[in-house]
Amino acid sequence: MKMNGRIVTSLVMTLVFTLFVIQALSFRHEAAVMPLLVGLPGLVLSLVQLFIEMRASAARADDPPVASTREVTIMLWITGFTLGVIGFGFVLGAPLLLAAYLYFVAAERLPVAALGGLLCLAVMAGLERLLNIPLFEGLAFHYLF
Amino acid sequence: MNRILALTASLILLALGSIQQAGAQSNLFDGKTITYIVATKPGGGYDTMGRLVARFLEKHLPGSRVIVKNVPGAAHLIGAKMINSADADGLTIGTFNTGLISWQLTATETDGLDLARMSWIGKAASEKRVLVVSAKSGLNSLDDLRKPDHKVKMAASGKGAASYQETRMLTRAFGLNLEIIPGYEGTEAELAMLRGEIEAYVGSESSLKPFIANGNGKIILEIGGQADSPNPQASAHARDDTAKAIIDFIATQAQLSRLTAGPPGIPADQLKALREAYMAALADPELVAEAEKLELPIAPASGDAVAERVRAAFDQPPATLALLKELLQEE
Amino acid sequence: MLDSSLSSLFGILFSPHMMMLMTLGVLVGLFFGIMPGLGGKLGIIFLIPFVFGMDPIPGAVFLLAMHSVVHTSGAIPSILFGIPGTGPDAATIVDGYPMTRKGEAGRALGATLCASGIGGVIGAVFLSLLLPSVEPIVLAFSPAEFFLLAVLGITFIAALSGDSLVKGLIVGLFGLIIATVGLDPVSGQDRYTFGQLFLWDGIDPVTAVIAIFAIPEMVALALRGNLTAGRSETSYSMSDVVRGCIDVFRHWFLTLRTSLIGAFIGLIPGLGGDVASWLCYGHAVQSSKTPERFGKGAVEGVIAPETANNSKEGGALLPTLYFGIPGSSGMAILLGAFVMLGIQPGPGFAAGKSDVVWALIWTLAIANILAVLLLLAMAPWLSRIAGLRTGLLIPFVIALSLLGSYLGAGAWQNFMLFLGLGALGWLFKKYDWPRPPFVIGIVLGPIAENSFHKAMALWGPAFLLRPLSLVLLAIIAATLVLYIIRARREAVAT
Repeated sequence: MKMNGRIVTSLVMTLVFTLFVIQALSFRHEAAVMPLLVGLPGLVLSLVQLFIEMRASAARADDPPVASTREVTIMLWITGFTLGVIGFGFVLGAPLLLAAYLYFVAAERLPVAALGGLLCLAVMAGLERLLNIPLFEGLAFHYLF
Repeated sequence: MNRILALTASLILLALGSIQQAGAQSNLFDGKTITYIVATKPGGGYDTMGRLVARFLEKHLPGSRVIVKNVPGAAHLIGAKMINSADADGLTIGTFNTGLISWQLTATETDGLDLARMSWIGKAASEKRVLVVSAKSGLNSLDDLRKPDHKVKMAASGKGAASYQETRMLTRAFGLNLEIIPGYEGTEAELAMLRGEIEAYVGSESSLKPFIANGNGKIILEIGGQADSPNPQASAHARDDTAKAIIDFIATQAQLSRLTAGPPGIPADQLKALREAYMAALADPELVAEAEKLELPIAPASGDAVAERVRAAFDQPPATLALLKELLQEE
Repeated sequence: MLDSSLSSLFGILFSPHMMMLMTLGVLVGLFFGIMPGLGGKLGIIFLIPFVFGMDPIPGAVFLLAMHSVVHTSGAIPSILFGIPGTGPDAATIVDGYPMTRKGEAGRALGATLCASGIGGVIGAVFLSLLLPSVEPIVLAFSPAEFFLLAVLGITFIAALSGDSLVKGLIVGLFGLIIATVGLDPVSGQDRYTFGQLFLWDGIDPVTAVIAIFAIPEMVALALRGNLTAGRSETSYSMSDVVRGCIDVFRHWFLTLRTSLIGAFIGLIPGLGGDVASWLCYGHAVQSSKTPERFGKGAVEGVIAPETANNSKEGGALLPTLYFGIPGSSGMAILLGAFVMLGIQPGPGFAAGKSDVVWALIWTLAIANILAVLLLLAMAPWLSRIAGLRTGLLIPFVIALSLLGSYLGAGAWQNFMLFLGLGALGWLFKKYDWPRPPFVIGIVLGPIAENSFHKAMALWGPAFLLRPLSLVLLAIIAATLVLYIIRARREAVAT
């Protein structure tokens, strides 16, 4: 049997419901009612869907891969961006990564990328300074200083 | 003549020195940014009071900037842990619920959080706790809650919440016949009493005031109030030692409300400056006027007094501690 | 009554001071609405120091004007970028964002603005008509009815799930089980927290919704290639906006119905704004003759949640003013601010202080109209943002999504969830799993569970036999029967 995205999605859901149901079995009675009431039908339906997808997949000859290279690239960037904000915060990390994205991935000219970064910096710093909303400052800041 | 001159000069120098020292005292936070952590989401009593205190701390610590940061979650635990683990330089302080005293008594894993060791800066209020019966219930006194043939339906926000624990404690202290229905959050308990499905509720006096003023219910018991309070005091009903210990414990948490604390080990001069600024802020007529308009009762106490009471709450005879733990633990 | 009503109206309209305050309030409200994660609640918290010392009526007018229009602008990022400005605006994404991708951004914006404005005004009318007699209505809804209302919302999942009922149900159940993460309020048990404190209060719905909608949309946007040159298809002209406005009047009966449903749900304390917009979205799908168009850019899917978002404010003010008991955290904060200004709501309030009450009602109506006019005037500039190159847009949307999550929930750990759920959302989008049922599940889950336990503790299974429960059960049954009949007919047709 060949793997395709449809099967993977159904598998993921089956796995998620399985984990939730197994955990729920160890809960106290009151706490377990809702997770089981929802989780068991979810598990059954996921298995049904998995079965449907596998039959459909057997009938089809060629399947596209789960994710294209371009999709993987953009997802890696989103992940990198998020990790960057976790590491260096909104005021520092977000504008830098935003500018980097514009320059490297979107292939904007350098002035445009720099302008984008500055705009982002202005929004973040404005929230922090003018509205006195403290933003996440990043784990690196927390551990290094 | 020379001697007098020298004496005068040294007196002047001394005076200058003390002025300079006083200046240094209040200038410890000059140019610094203090983060004031509020352990709830924006909105609500803790947030409103926290923002008020933060704004006036800034005023009474010249040159400083105090910003409020909401760190909500896990019944104030996340915020309290964040304050506890911050650098002890006086630049991170904050406010959280006194109910964490109960939590610490029963917690198996405290993750380094020890309320008795924290640097207490002060408390802003006493939140008297009251037992309210709804007008619809037809109940009138504590005796009505003891009748064996009728379980009185009580609302509580959830197991582990203050209203739940206190209802259990009162049941034990006064031999009441109650049934707790958990899951009523915020003002839902008041609506449930209006609808009639719930007959009574333990909550804070200030938040239930409008409910009672509108004639929807009445207070039959008050915990943590002064002797001249118009409401019946729980301490007067407490006959035996068990009841007394329980009421005492609830009263401690009630009287230490709207706390401000920092992590353990803030240097003495910083802590002193913070405590002084805190007391000055809470005595500020502008703050008092705003708090009155916001209907936030003010009953301040300084950090040293708070620290003493917190330590006393943990420093009890083993039998009492065991009883409290039993009542606080979820069944 | 007419006298005091009109004198109050003229008192506002012909006072430059009041109109200035109102305009300022509306502008601040629009700003707090359009920034993901801020919202009306935070708006009031920031404004409280400024209104301290104002006279009661001007202060209340200012705050209410601000609070009542946040959802008018909150839909703009939902439509243009696929991220909700405020939680209740998430429902607008489902059809608003596909409209933008189809090149109908202007039409979607026009529909949103008009729907919001009309919804707000109907909410104000609702408030003025019901204020004297609201008590029995509010008190009729107990945990039993809450539970059934939640079940009704979940039943709509069936209507929402589009081509595959199985997939729709799985995603809906997934939303429901995600909603059980955190400290169980009834038993105190911690569920699925894995020792992570930030999960104790549950998975932040704003983060989850943004992740499951915004990330997949950004991936899809990047895939359209042609990242370097050319304008995206999202630019529009004013005639598109006008067309959207006309759509609202074309669907006047739906507009009226969802405005009333929204106001009614607002009136029931504790159900919340998300429920209002999603129930109305569900109603639009379920009552449509062509439900298959939804989720692909149907204008009714924008109209329904947006009318509800604004009309529910009028409804939510009812219990707040009448009982002095706020029905939502936003109303609690507004109530606190009113009390600070010297307005003390309660049963006698509606009769005794009619000038204040009328000022509030008129504020609700005027502010909503003002917001629409202001945004219409700004629409050409919004078109510029919408017309940005997609390559420029993507990183800004991701940054704003993270910001929205952080401002809403205040924990960086949510960013990890953001990535995980985002990846799942991408699978959902790519392989045609409907995403709206997830949001209904996560929003209604806690209400359903909590109310079920309360109702069982109070009445046992007999709670289903309460009169209003029976009515709700009948509506649920009718919804299911209608769905089955329609599904049969479609099966025959194909």
